[in-house]
Amino acid sequence: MHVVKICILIWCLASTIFAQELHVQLTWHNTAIQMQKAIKTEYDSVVITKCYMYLQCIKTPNSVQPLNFKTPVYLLKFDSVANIQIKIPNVNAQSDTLTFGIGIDSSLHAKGIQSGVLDPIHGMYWTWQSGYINFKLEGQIKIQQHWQNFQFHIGGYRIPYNCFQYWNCFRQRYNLDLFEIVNPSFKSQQFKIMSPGIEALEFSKRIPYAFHNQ
Amino acid sequence: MVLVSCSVDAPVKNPVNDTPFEFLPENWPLPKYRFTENQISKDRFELGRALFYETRLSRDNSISCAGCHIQNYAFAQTDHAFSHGVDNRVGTRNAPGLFNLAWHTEFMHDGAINHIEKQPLAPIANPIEMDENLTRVLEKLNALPKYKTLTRAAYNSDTLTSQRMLWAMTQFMGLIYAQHSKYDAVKNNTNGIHFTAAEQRGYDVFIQHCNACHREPLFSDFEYRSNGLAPLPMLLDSGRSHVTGLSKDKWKFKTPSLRNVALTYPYMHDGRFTTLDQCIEHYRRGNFNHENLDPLLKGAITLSEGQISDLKLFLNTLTDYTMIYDRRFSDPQLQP
Repeated sequence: MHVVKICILIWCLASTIFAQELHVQLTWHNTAIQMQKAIKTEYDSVVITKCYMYLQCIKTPNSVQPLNFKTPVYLLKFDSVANIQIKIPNVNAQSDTLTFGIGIDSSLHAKGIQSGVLDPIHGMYWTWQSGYINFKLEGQIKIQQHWQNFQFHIGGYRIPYNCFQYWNCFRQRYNLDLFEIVNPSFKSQQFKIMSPGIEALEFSKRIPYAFHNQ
Repeated sequence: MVLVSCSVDAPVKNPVNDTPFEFLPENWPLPKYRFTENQISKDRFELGRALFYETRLSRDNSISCAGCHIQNYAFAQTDHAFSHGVDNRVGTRNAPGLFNLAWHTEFMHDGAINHIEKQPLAPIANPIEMDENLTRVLEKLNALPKYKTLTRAAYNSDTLTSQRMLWAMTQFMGLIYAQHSKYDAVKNNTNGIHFTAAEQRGYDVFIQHCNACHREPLFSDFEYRSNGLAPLPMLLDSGRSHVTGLSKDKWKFKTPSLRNVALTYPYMHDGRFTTLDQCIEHYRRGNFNHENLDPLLKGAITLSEGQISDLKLFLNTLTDYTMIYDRRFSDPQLQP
């Protein structure tokens, strides 16, 4: 009996201290996505072939600290699976918020060549203007019986088109509804954004609001 | 990064001049890039040198950095206005000279590249230049015993990564200094060298009419300006605004350094002028009616024929023959 209690206690402690995983599931109209496969909803059909994004863990609760070189950076690469777990910094038990930056902040852009997830080899770097792509989404959508390719490479770190966005993360399991992000673009017949500018900025602003608790 | 730093021998100081900036003249500003993380060593410099002359950086293994940046011409390209890429593709801008890059904070005529270490990525990936991607470049190079040897010597590892590659290339390009011209000798009171009377008059003309933008001692203030050039209809190159997306930056290009200007023809971002006379005439004619024209270029610059002649003689004193004949910067495969 004591052994069971101890195990439960250890599990509880471990849950508190080490259960710092963030789960992100891609969805479309709240329907879980399967990468590379057509998803048919009552509204439309879509295939998501690639969704990459950078997340920078800016701060544990309540106060946003200045970004620095040691800020953890994650590259979420959804290309074969539509759900990803990443280990994130422990959150103080008294608090419940993590603040993420979606993308790469301008100070890190100004640094020299980086390694790891910031290595340009990952295809998230615009070589022609020294800029990381914060969010990359590619696929096809069926519109009026015709499949239309779409390609959104969202980034830009220079004012006034800095696409770095903030997202406050309260829980550990989230859906990211891609429909909510791209639908305004589709409504305006926009299927491609490939460089920084006002269109990329407006697109980027929608990303934090597309995260929903599971 | 820490492991890499710890694993190499104590870094040799500047392999070109023995110690970084030892010969930095008193009237020069400190360089913007100081190799702080990218510690200088002779082996890393040599790796960078090999990479600079490496044609495998291009998709069809035909073009190296040196293809458009030729040492004899201060690492500029004089054969044609626009650089040539793979499959006989032609670029849209003139290849600038490469020297004193450690004093730049932004690169390319429009400043699109924000760090010297990232600069080589642009021509490698550009479809009208090398048209290659970084993954394939590294695969090709890592397959060669030559690069295993060079990388091991430089980083105590057989594997060339993008960071190691770009750090090494930065060591090579960032250590090409143009600071041994006659102008420098005069300024430094070296061995009693003086301007001739005509060169001195030319210098006076320069100070009066050119130095506001081509500011000594680097002969550029590195600002972006519209200098009254009408855009070529076939290109309509909007310059800096292509990077910033701002209309106020339309038609602006970075002020080029005039060091080695006698060697770096053709001139302007699109290489439209082949002689210094044409450049000077452009400013002498003046009276541009041009969107975002730089305020300093309103009106015209009045110069007599004699002043033009003197000015050209002065500009010739900015050539650094030490740099262009320095074998440490030449193709290592061509050396005995």
